[in-house]
Amino acid sequence: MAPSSEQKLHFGKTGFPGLALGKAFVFARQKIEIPETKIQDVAQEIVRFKASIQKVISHLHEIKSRQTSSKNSSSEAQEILEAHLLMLEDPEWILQIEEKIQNQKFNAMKSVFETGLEFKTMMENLDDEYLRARAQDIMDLTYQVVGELSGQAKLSIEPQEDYILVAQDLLPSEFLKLSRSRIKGMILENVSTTSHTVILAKTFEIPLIVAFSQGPNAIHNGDFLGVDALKGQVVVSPDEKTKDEFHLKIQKQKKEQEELQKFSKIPSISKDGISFEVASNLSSVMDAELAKGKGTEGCGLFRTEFLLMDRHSWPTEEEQTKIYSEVVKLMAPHKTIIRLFDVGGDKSLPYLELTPEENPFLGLRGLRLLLKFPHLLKQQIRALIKASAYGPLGVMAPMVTTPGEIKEFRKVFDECQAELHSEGFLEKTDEGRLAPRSASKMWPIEIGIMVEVPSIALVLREMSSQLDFISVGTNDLIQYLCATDRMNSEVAHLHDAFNPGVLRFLKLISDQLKGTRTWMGMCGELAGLSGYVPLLMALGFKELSVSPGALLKTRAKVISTSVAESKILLEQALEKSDRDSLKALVEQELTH
Amino acid sequence: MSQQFECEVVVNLETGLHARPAGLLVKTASQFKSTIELHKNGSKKNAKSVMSLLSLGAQKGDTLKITAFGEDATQAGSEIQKLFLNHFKT
Repeated sequence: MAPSSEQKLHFGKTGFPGLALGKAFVFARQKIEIPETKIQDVAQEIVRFKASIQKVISHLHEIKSRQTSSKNSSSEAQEILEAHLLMLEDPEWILQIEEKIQNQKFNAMKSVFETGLEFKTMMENLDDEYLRARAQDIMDLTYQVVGELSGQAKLSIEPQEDYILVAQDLLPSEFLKLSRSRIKGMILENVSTTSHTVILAKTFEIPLIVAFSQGPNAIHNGDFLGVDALKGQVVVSPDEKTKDEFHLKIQKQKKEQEELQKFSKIPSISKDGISFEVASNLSSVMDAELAKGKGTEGCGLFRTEFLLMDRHSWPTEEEQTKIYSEVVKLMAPHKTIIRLFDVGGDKSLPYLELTPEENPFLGLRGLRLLLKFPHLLKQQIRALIKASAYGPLGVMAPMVTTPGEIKEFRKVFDECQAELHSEGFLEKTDEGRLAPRSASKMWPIEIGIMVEVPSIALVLREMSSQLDFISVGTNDLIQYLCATDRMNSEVAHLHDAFNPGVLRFLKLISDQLKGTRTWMGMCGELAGLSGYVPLLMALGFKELSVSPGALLKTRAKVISTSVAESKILLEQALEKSDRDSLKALVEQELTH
Repeated sequence: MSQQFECEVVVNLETGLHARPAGLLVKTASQFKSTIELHKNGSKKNAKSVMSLLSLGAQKGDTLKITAFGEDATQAGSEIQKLFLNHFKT
């Protein structure tokens, strides 16, 4: 099909932030039919099977030696290849395949495929996120051996120029076979964030968009694409103007990245000596490791709902404890703020029966949902209290609408503390607080809420005695404040941080908490907008939490900004009543 | 002459018996002729098979039994035991 010519915008989610421009290479795995035919000559079929394994092994060795000699090599890639080689020589796997050939007279392809499925199912049912993701490796090897047996080439023809890889899903081996230096960006439809492919894309810092579910006809082979993995946007067939914008942004970004590296080890203190925390928004332990490498000052938002994806049952208290503990440990001595499960009717979880809603974003979600299923809320809070033994922790409730909900949430928290006290996990300290018995140091857990629903924002002063902190989630706050769905391309332009109403609303939040014990953080995209950072500092936000890719940019801005000067800028900005003049003022600040 | 070996170990790896330690275990076990197995809660797995070991789902704090049977079972069993005692550091 000829590439379409009209510029179109599509949305996904950030897998690894960055920008890219180039031609689409739509990766299509050739469909291999598994024959049902029974075989006559068992010995010959086993020889055929063994030969195919040997071919895949020598192929992997080839990739491995190419890896070692290439300057783009990574230890992760080497380790994954090592693991694959070990699996290919696995005696149990080989035995089960041979048994199928011998006893059931299955042909080699069917035997390999069926055995692969058996091992995959076994892995998927394990109580461990990491091992579940290994199921993908098993299918990867299965496809390689089956492909070898079928005699069909498996890869589509890779372009000889730079390209943007588009695929439904992509196996680690498929990724490693491509020439990485040509891949400028990636768009994947269905992959788990813990899959080896996503880890590899992050390791090689390739801009990546995941959860891109626009249907099969959104992008064709050869379409020209602009990928903005910071915003999770893809522009198909960008016009000349958009292309130029991308070019400029990419060049600028490259230069910036080089210059920003030096900020990874400098604390976030403003020009006039005020301390801030520039933290990261994270969704997995892997993210936490990445952010730590960039010098993050803690985690301002850990999205626990990612624990719920790609699985068959609700995660147990032990499983949750393990993941939260790992993140808290990685971030210590900095603080980790963990948000309670933020799910609703828009995500179907097979193990939680929810009635479909007309309007899931205004429906049963976040804390509303958790208060309706108190055993799930309790289980999560118990796991969080246990994780607090490893470092400073904040627990944050999403989608809070009324003061009553905050009281209920605190009540459940107190109940969990009392339970863990009577179970002996917590003990009374000299100051009369409850602390984990096993902790080497005392870190009181902080309790806070996301401010995203406008109604709760207006009663914060009264609630401040109940709250150690609040964190403004700008993406959802703007969505609710401007009544705009940013995934709807017809109205996405109205989801606008430069709407003067948004800034004035932030001011209103800040005014209410002035002089109270409650500190303010922000965990939305706004905190990653350089021009906006001085305004946020002047408003009194102490913690700015952004995606790991935006961390150093935000920190550099904090360090070069004076809070006293920003207060003057804030006053000017608050006077603006139209978006263009507000944007101009903020961007003028940027060119300084 | 055939030997027998049996002992218990505790998994002392933060992330459980994952790919890297499992790989090391398989490599070590494969150097021996004996049948070597790891047992957890009544299920037993071939120590020379990385997929079987992973499917054991052994996590930190789990107690595993190592058994070996064959002509070099004593040495094989103690080498595997050593891996656990040294937290799989080489």
